[in-house]
Amino acid sequence: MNTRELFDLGGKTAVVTGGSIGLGNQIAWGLAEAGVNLVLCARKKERCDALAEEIRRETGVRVHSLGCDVSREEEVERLARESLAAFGAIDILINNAGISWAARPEEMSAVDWQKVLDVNLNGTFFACKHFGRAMITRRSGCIVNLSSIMAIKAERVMSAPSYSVSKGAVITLTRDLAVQWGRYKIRVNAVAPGWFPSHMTEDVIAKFGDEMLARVPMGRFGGINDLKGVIVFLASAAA
Amino acid sequence: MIDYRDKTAVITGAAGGIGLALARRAVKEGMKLVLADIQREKLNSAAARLGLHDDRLSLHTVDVSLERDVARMADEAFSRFGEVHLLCNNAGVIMPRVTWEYCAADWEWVLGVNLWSVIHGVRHFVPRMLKQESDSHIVNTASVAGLLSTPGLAAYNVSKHGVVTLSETLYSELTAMKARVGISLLCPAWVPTGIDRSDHNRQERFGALVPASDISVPYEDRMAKAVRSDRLTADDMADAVFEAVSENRFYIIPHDRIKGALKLRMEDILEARNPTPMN
Repeated sequence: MNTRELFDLGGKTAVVTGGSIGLGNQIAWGLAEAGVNLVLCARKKERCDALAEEIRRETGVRVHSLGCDVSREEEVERLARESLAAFGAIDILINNAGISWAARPEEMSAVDWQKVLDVNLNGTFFACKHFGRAMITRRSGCIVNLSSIMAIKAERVMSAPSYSVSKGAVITLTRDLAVQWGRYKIRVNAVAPGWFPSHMTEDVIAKFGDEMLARVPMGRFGGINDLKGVIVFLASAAA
Repeated sequence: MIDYRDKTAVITGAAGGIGLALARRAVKEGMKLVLADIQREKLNSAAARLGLHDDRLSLHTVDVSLERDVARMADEAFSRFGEVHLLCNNAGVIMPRVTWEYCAADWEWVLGVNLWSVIHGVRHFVPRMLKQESDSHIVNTASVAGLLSTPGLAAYNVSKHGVVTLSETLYSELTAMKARVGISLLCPAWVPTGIDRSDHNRQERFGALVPASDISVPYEDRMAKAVRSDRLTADDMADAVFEAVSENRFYIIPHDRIKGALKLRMEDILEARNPTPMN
């Protein structure tokens, strides 16, 4: 295969959880621009509908939108069932749906601690499990899990204890699955983005943006195109 | 300013309408962009379609009525790109009501987004632009509503008249000191944009919109029709702006037909006639 063919995703189908705003929005566009058909899901289906409409119009790929709370296994099971029914096969799963909760560690409640883990970690696991089954049958598939720089490097300006923990756990889960599912020719990888302006980061950036930027060599935060390359790479035969 | 290549443009209200058209034209001219809008996702979407590498693009979710938001955007623009060469104070909202039916919060909203935004922009950009080596230019988006008093649009008219006189004043001051900062004033008439849906982005602190009374509803209907009806597009506005900036021309009034109404208004004043009704 030549280089171009390695990166070619034309005609593939991807599921993007949390595919409405923030990083999920950029990931959806990035894949669509590479010719990938999409299933977008989020708790608020209307947001996915709006994005789906725009993506269809601009890129011509097929896009389905579904409502799904990934922290609930039965909803993820339904998501998998309906996605497979709509497209026959799902080539790529992007586990992007995620929430954060800022709190001082000494004050964080058990409920707040857990709800972040439920979405970020359990949600990722449930999606891997239910989409993985179909990928195992096909002996082919690709999963990309969204971790975070917070999994690797603790940040003084942001205390969101179970967020970092969930993202660290995602890395470990990714490694486990890659080792367990390599035999089925399923590739499992993770991306750990740094700081991207979004609804999730706007408060921290507003308060501490200058301090954070001082430590970024390029002197800017993540842009609206910065994730596309790595997602396409990991989703493709090039990875 | 004639050569825009690699210069930096700052544009507010850039997620759609005239702001986005200005952004598109700026990209064609090879400019780097700092784009701001209150609608984050819409701005991200629109900006992603511009085809600019992230190194040449900076996006800000900004409430232009808040000085601290505008200040933060200005600080980032200068620290990231060094200089700002084109500042387009363009964000704006509209709200039709008969004059006595706007509540105080309605006035604060329209004046905040349309007029205070320009004040904040001038205060946080002009001093640094004056210190720059390179030439720079400001374009304030007013409206023919800054030169005429259309019924049903008092708050909009007041805000836009404010932008007109602020810009004219700035022009005399900058020319008097032979500054390398130029200024132009864009006065569109009706252009198909999302401005008739301004209330969708109304900030929480101004409270909910009270629905129009029977007297005000016709003005809302008239506006909704007018926004869809005109022949000049947002892209036409952007082209007019870039042409005027290249020629260092102050008044940018692309809708030629409005000149009759402008003349009538001036004559009413000079002749001390009661204002001629606008249809």
